[in-house]
Amino acid sequence: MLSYVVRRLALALPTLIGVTFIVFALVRFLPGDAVDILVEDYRYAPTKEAMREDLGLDKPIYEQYLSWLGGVARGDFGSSLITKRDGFAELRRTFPVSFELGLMTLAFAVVAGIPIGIISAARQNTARDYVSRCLAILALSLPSFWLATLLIVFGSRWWGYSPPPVLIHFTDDPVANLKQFAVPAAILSCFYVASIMRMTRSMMLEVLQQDYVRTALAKGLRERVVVTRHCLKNALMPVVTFIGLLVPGVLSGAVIIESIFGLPGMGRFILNAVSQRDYPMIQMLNLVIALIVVFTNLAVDVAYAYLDPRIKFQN
Amino acid sequence: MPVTGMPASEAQGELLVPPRMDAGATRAGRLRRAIRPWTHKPLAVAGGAIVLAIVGVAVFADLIAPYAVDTVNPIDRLQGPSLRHLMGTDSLGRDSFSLVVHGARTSIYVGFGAVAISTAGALIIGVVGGYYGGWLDTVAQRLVDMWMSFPWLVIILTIAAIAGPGLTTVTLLLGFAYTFPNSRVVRAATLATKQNLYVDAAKVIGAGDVRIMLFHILPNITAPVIILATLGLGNAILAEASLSFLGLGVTPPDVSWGTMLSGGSRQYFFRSPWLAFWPGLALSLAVFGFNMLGDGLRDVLDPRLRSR
Repeated sequence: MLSYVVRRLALALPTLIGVTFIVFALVRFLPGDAVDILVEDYRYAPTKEAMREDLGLDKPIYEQYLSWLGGVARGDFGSSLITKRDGFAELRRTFPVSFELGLMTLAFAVVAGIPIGIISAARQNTARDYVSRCLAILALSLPSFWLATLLIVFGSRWWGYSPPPVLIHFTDDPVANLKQFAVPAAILSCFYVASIMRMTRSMMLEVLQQDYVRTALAKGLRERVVVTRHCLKNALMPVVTFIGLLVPGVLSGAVIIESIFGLPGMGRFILNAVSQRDYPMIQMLNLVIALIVVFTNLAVDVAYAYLDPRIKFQN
Repeated sequence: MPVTGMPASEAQGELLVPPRMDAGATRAGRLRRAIRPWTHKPLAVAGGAIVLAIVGVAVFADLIAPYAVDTVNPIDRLQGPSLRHLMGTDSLGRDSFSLVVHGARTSIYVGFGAVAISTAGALIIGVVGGYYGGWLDTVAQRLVDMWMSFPWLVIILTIAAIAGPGLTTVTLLLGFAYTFPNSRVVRAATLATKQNLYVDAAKVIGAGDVRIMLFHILPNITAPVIILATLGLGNAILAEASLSFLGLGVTPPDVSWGTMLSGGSRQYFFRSPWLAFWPGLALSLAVFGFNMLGDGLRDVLDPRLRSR
């Protein structure tokens, strides 16, 4: 098992290096003289020369890259142009918020999506199947920012709901904290409930056609037992990978949802950094997100190998 | 021996009739056979109807919209729905119905533009890569891997902010973004098609690589490409609205359903909730239509799934 993990890590390495290249190039090779705008529109520095020096743009490009990478390795991501605060400290403050939101979203999606998918497949072409499939397509079509807006506008009219204006920490009041996160997570999860449901359904349908399922049914096992004990494990394997693939999407969704619900997480941090051209922070956030995604994929692969021992011996 | 492309049951009893003479070959028969898979898919047909309606609204927006959307009329601001203004008016006194109608035009423009770009890109990367293989294909696929592990919204936001938002930027960026994941599907279809005997036969009679790719592979991968494009349209429309919602998509004077739900207009939603309702409904309906149609197309065009 350990050798598999090491091998997977080695494979992730080129991806990680590529990611640092892309992130580094992203803010440097785009049209528009960025420094002019930073100085003239945002007044981050008194003169263009000072701004260049501040961003380290006066050095040769390879030196810029290496010194940035060296800083990243030491946990020094540079500091925000707007607040002048240390980037890593901001990250430590905002990351837990997005982490909780993302975890809750995926938890909702799994808890609702998998059972509905199983029922839909086991009862293929019945009314229940049609209804859940239609609802799934509907859920995939509803923009989360519209749902959130409607909830805030009509929620305040009909049920007196309004999102808490400040973050309630879990350690201060666990119940209020969970309540604060549950609503945005539920809205964000609509899309993912539907995707996981559709994935589970099609995998389940594939497994249900296998010979061993017919055998199990033929020898008189109850359907419930066949579905939960025989099919589920095999059908859920690809779903595990699929959940890992949803992580980038959930992070993207967090950008929108956090802004609407006023959650001080990484998503809102990103939006602020991007709209105010806070280059050091844009660079840091893109890298951090890419790292999260790469390591989630790694974790999913390892989990997959653990669940399906055949994987380890391939290649 | 069943005639190729026809279910065995249908060909029974017509064994001696040459394929040209069977019912499926007359014009009415062909039509009937083309329609048959759809008669069991009322949802896909409904999706198609929604899509047609939205495209129609987008094309004839100037004729349908009762008011101009680029004029401000402060006296009429924030009116409720009435016969004069079916969906009320916004904070600048513009007719919401006209804005929603013009929003369709933006959505369709960005959707079709992005899908055209991504389909062309995906066909080039996928067909050429899949057909030739080799190290270039490997490198391309690693890059696709890398791209797909990024949250697209964050990257696009970053580029849009730096390059300056607008209709063209959004269309290009979304087209670019969807090229990579789509190329994966095109490549897989190409790899499967390449195995067919008729490709070898074409090679044997001396057809060049370009000829094989254009006339033998391309026509045989249209099904997945059409499905991708249809579902991609829904996704691109949703993505444009999300970007516009965040203020980094379409810029005025272009009207977008996303913009109508964002920024300065949000403070009026509590007073005038209909402003928040209609653009979102139009957006959801459009995306729903494309998703339903795409789903139906997948069932109809992909014979392996037809039985399901």
